[in-house]
Amino acid sequence: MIDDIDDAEWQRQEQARLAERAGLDPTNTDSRSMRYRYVARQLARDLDAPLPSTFAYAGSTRIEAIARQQRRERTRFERAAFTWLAAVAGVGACIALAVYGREWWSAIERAGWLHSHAVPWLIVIAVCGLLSRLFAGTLRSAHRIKH
Amino acid sequence: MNPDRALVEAVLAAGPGAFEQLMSEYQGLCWHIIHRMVRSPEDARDLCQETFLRVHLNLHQFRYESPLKHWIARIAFSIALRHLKRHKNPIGDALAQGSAIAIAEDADDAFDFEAACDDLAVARRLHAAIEVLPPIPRMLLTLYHLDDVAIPDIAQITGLPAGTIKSHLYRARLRLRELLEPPTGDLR
Repeated sequence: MIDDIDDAEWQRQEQARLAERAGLDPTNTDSRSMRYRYVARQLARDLDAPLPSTFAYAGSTRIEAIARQQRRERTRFERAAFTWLAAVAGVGACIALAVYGREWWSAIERAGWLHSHAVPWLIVIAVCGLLSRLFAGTLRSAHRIKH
Repeated sequence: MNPDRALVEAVLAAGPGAFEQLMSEYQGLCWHIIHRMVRSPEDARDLCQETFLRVHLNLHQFRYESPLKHWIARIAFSIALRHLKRHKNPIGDALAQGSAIAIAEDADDAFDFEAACDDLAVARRLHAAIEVLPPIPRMLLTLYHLDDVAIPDIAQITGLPAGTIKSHLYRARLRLRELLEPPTGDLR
């Protein structure tokens, strides 16, 4: 798209824009550059009706309220989705236990894991991990609701 | 601290008046971009509000990879563009086909540049010609001339290649200058 640009004409346009911005004396400027300066002067004028002076104040209050509401709705949706997901996973786990539970239990017994000294420590580590995750999640959602 | 970072962190921490300050600082730029593309003041006001709502909801995703000004301007541009597409407005092709500045072809035969340079009528004709430019070139001229945004920064805001932006600016200014030419062209 740049092929249609005559470089000399582009330079003329740019020089006129910069001269107009700097308020340089137009004496000895050729008529074509004068026209470009006139175009640049008009383009640099803000002719649009401005935003109302209260736009930022009124807008920010409204937007902050809408954003808070949307975040609350999103949190509510996330919680509902998480609850449903947990329920589906729980039901799936119960079905799997009912179907394969006996098989798994006998496999664990055969492996002799239940008689190992490491079992209590593994349980403690798992509980610590679970508690710290739950605590972090609660803190995060409390922070999100606050904002 | 970088002023963008200070402002963003204040807004994210829900500091009193922080978001209002952000809006006051960037509302002019958003208004220019949106209003120049959409033209209807009512629509432009609503789209400005939508821009700042999106800014508020997504500010935590701002990574300081570009100035905050460009990030907000990019949101304003995409919202205005989506509005135009939804309303099936021609966006920027008309200029390429040479049909945009129809008013230039109605130029008065008796027009005398030297005598009429300060004439209000000339300014009015020129502004009418700017008004009938397609939305993209009109917005590019405003960003470049009124808001003094450099071409690489406009490219970052709009996602348009710098060459395309230059081409739009070049052709629009050429047409506007031609509007000021006397019919014989003897002042060249």
